[in-house]
Amino acid sequence: MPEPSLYNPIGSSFVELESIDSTNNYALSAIHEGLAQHGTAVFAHEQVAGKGRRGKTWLAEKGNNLILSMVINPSPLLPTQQFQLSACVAVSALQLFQKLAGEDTRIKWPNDLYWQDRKAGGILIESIIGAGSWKWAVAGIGININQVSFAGVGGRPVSLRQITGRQHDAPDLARQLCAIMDANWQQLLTAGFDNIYELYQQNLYKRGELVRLRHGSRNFDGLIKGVSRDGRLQAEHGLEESFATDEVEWIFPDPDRSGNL
Amino acid sequence: MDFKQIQELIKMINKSNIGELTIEQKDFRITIKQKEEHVTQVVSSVAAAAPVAYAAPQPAALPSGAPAAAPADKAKAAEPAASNLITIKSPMIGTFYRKASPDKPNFVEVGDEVAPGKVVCIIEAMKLFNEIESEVSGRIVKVLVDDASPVEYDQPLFLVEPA
Repeated sequence: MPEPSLYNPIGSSFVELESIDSTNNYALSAIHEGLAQHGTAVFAHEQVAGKGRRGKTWLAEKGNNLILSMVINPSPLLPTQQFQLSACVAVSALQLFQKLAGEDTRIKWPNDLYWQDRKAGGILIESIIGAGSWKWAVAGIGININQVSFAGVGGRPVSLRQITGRQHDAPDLARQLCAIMDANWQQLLTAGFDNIYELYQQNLYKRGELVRLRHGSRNFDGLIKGVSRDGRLQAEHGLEESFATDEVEWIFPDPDRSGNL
Repeated sequence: MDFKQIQELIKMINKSNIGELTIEQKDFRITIKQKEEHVTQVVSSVAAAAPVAYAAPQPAALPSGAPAAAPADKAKAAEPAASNLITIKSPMIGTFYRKASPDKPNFVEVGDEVAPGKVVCIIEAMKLFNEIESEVSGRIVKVLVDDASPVEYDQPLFLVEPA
């Protein structure tokens, strides 16, 4: 493998594909073959086997969405500091979307993009750890851009076009997202996590509101207080507790949307 | 000498031409050896670095004084003694998965050969999916955790009989 560089701006190498199984798979294969560099971005007009959490697929119409994977050298962070990268990607997606769709854009813990009560995008980060160090990360982002029909998809997803009433250029937005991510990543490495963490907290979906959570077999209404610096959801219900993603489920008012976060 | 210093030392030796180095401090003694093929290897790569990095935990794990491994009884080589086995541990708190997705085969099975860089499992932590690479060359002799179970930081995941 080539010596990973921290200095190529993210998106300086921008691969644009007509159609691919999954941009994350493409980037991960490149890493395993020793062909990827920090900053390489992979954009696809169509993703035929997009990945969601543990095999859940992400459906996107051809040419109508932002489908992007960014190769990051995360070695300045420890494997136990992964939330810092996760938050950095989420805040970057938020900033891009907020610029066009306005203030109702939020981050739903841990890293979905929401507009009002509707999902506008998702993030899937895959990474490689060897010899105790965090060697590579592939940050995959999917954002609904021009798609207006979401037949068969639960939970009323929303696209940028539905919000703004006009078409957008998905590859151009992907390039903008790379530039935003690069600035945030540089800031994280040079100035630390404080600013990204603050932005994440300020824009957290349902912060300060009661939501129904499921913890094991028990359901309860918890007041969302925020997230901890290592990414655990802090909810208050009598006493304050914090949860990792595999410990609580978020139960939406809309039954279609319930399920693992 | 703490773990961090040992890691630094291994990195240094790995980049050097030193074949073997022993350091003694009071009742502590550590020997780090490079495998011959890695000493002569000109192009350094991540894959080449890893086996050396693993040479250390064995001597370091010995209580004190014991010089590197005693000559092994060759007759017993087929039956790996527990003490020879290397443990692959979890680098983080999370959920342990043996396959890339539910419809894929396991990354490794008991009896499979692994080498540095070979992915042995995925640990999911906070919706982030981490492929965990083996740091050693050898054969998987035991899988210690069930698929899709929670694991703690440093929890043993696999036992590997070193090659």
